[in-house]
Amino acid sequence: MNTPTREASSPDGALEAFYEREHARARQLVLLGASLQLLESVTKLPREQLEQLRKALSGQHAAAPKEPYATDWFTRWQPNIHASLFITFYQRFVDAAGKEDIDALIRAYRLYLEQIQLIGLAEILSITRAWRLIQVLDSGNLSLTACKRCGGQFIAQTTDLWADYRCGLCAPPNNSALFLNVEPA
Amino acid sequence: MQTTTEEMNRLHDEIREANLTYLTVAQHMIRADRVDAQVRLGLGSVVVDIIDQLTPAQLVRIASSSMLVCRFRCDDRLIWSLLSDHGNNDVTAGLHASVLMANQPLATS
Repeated sequence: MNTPTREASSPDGALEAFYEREHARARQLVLLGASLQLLESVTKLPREQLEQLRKALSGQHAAAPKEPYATDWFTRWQPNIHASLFITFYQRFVDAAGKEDIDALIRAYRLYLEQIQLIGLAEILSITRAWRLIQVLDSGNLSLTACKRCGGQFIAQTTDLWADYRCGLCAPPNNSALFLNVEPA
Repeated sequence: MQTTTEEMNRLHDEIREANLTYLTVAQHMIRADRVDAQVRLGLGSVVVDIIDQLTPAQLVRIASSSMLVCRFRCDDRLIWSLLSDHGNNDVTAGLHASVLMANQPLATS
């Protein structure tokens, strides 16, 4: 992340530009439905300002319910496919920009939303969960495994050693189509 | 096999059209958002820079070749069968194709 003082010759101008960028980034995140918790971790804006922004842009109040931290959500059948699609996009953006940052999160999440809407599914992965997923993968509690049949990258428990891993799409559970949340027409 | 001059000319016209469309779309995408374009096009940064800097004249000259300048990003049979199969589970097939397409690496240059 850029530091406020390194950029321009005039420190005041640089600071102003820095906060402008932070503000623009916070706006994008709020519009994508980011929680206060996410906003606080990835921008340098004071909490009151972030609360105001959320209220103004999304009509949500500060005390929005916290999403559970549990990592097993990512390993359930339907969430796993959505989260795997997101993280694969995220990797492409990291490849393209050459760095892991909030920009890659925002871009990958947008592309995820676009793709899911095109297919006609409901967007069950929130941006807060997407951000959480990146942290969980960094920590090593979950990892990416290639499906031995289709070659796609999917999120799996690190503790499981998958010599013959089949993804949820190659080997779906019975009646899995019934569990797909399709966007109401 | 014999190809008449007329048929050959038509083929060249069609290839030029396809090349022009591809290069124009790519250039628009790159100028609108470079990183986003790289991921959607599947191109490496060197080629993206070159396309970005093409003048209209250069663009037309490149397009007027007898070869296509772009090709399919995936030569994976599974992706093709998922994309083309209109079986009874379009949604699952679409989702699967998306995951596999997203996993195609960007070109190295």
